[in-house]
Amino acid sequence: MIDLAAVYSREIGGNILTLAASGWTYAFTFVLYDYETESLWYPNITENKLECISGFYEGKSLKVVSSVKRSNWKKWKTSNPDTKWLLTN
Amino acid sequence: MQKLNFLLIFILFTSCSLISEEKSADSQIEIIEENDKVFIQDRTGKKWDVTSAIEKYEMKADKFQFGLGTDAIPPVINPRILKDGEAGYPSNSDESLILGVTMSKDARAYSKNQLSRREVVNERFSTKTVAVAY
Repeated sequence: MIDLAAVYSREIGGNILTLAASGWTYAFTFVLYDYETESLWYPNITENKLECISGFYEGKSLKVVSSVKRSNWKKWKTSNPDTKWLLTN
Repeated sequence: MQKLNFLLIFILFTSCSLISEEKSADSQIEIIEENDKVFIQDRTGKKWDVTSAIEKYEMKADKFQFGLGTDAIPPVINPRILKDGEAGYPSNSDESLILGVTMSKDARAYSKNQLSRREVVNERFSTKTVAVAY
């Protein structure tokens, strides 16, 4: 799989989407879908957005709203002393 | 006897390659064209309409691959957010790999390992609802 990390807005037209892995991949990249409409979403790397390629939101996109920094905890904690830790397991 | 052994091994190999061929055929997806629409069908029989992906985004139906399954990788929804001092917060000397995000003056770190098993974290930074995808 392509090593891709991004933070997308998941608000669209006043609705909040829940994004998840669809189970599909395309060109070694995960295809996401939203629980609400089961639209398919695919990253557009050159335009920094997640594009709806099929379904209710087809033609719409979700913007990248922040970058993701790759680091290790020790370094990250030193430069961001107030950082929070997310329990995602 | 030696010849017989050789023959047996040969047969074993042949049957192994037959099995692996069957497996790869099984993981292949079904492409269905119906009423000017194109669907890709996953192992569970669910059909996904990819007509616009093909017509407008120049994607190819046969390039979609189905992995572990739609619910095999459940996303994280509104995770617990720990502050320094709370149980489960890593020690300062921990060198495990993380992905870090800073937004709305809020810095958050995600375990790279954990995130790769969940793909998406659905959460909120202040008033911004976001999905961290990996």
